[in-house]
Amino acid sequence: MSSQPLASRPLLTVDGLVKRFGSGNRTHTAVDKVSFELRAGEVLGLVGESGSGKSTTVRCLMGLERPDAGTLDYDGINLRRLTYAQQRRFRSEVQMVFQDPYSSLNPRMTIGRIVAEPLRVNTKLSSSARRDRVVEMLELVGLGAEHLDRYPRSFSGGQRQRIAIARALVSGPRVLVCDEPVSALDVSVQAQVLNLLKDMQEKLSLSVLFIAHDLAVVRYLCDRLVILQNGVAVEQGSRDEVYGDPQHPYTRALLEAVPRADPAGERMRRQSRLELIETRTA
Amino acid sequence: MTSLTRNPGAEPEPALEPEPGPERSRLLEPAAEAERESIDAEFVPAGTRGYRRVNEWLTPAGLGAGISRGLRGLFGRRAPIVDRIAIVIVLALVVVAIIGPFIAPYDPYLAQPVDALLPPSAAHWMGTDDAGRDVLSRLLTGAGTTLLAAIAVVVLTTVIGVVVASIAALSPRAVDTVIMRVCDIAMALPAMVLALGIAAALGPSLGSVVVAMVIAMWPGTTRLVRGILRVTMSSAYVESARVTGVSKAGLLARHVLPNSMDSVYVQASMEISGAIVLMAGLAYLGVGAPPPSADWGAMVAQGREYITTAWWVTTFPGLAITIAAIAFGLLGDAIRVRLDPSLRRR
Repeated sequence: MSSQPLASRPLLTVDGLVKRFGSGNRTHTAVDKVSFELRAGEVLGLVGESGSGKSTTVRCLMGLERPDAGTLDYDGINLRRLTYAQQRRFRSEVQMVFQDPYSSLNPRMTIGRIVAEPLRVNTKLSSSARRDRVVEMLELVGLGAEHLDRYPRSFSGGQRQRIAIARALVSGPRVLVCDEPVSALDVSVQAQVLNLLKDMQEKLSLSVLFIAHDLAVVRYLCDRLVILQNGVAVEQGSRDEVYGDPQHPYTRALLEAVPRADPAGERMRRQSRLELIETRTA
Repeated sequence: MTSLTRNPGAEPEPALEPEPGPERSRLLEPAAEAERESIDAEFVPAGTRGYRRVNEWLTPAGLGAGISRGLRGLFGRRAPIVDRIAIVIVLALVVVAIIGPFIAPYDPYLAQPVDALLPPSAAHWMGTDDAGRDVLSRLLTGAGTTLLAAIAVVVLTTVIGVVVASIAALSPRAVDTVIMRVCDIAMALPAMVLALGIAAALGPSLGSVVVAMVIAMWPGTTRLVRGILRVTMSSAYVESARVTGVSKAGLLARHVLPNSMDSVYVQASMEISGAIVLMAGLAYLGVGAPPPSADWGAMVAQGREYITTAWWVTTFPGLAITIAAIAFGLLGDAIRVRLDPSLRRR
């Protein structure tokens, strides 16, 4: 294992994952035999429009939903049958940032307590060591120690997402799972948070599973991409492959939807899209 | 405006963060005390002080904070008139319950057959009953036991409800199901009938009525609290704590319960009026405090035979029950509007 180059070792493996909702005749297959792997040190993007099953995939991975079929493996641990010790290891090494920073922080806890919680649960640090670590982490995400005693409602969306990132990274995880961490934020703040995530990934050599519905966001961050449509992984490959030579029509449609910073070109593109729609409806 | 929104950068709301008072500090060991002070002396308690604090929402201070947050604004300029009337009546009832026996103009128990069934007059504002006892004096004297017993019932059912619902939440699904089916079975019997049977079996006393009502009412409260806990459990902050690796007990203690207690308080305040009516009904049917005592429900029953000739014997206690029930109901509703997260204005 150790002889292999770091970037090629699979850390998280998802194989044939199936998740259905509902029962009887009214089942909906949210995730249909999705397979991919996250290698150590890379950023993997999971992209698709809403309803494509990307969040469900991650929720199965994190143990928030029970999958119907498939294998989930983290570094040799079978995530569908965890022993207590394995559960503890998984929880301390894989952390998550949620989509909505307005609801993912406990409104009754101070920032200090929120960020310290993973340390409290997963480490044996003394309370003063925890405090030092929390301050250090908050400063790393650009928030000062003076915020420790404040409540989440005193912070803006971008600040809250920084707090959520600090919480996820404070206990030194190996893997960070981000479920559309910027889609609930103002565009002006999105870039800051993305920069922060990229920074952290490089500084802490994290492996990141990054979910997005927006290829522009993903292009900036991800080394490899998995494109999901209606619960099926329709395409996967390196960033350059997917952006340079998209194979699946859905991927091409997604790429087409990304606006370009070129007004004239954008007008032409829009025109051709409209013509496409007209010929289709005619 | 509302007490629940704040400007960014303002100091933490004192009501939410009851500082450990000097009494609590004295209980700490000297070393811990010194450590706590050194932390307090610095800018931040940084996620450490909070863990040492006894869970704030279960202490009287926490309860008081929840209630005071609910009541604050009831006195404010913008409080609706109905809310203000409700709180004035409730406060008046509480005052009467406390000082009633002392301001009663006559002895509420002294039978004077000569004065039997006198209509309301300057001497007896609410008339006298069939034994010649002053109705007003009996109303004032009975207020304390009636209200205290109703509140005791609600407090006990709420405590039982929170404890049992928490056990259900922590247990495997099978245990949760068993607990809820037991509640369903108990709820299938009308509370009135169940309480009547139990109270009759326990013998005539106020204590047996309270016990009977708690037994009759806890399943409903437990179901409601379980529903509240489940809603809180599905929130994103609970999920994010779960993903962090917090144990089930930790989730419940630090995330689910503190964020559920507002709804529980609201539920409890709404149940008080139901308890008043149920208790009056039981007393009317003859279970409850034994005859001479001035229970409102028993007073209504006592005047039943004379309703065509001496309306005042039943009417005034009946009005007292109605007003108390409505006032507590309105108060509960007012508190709900202020505390319930789903009704809260952003």
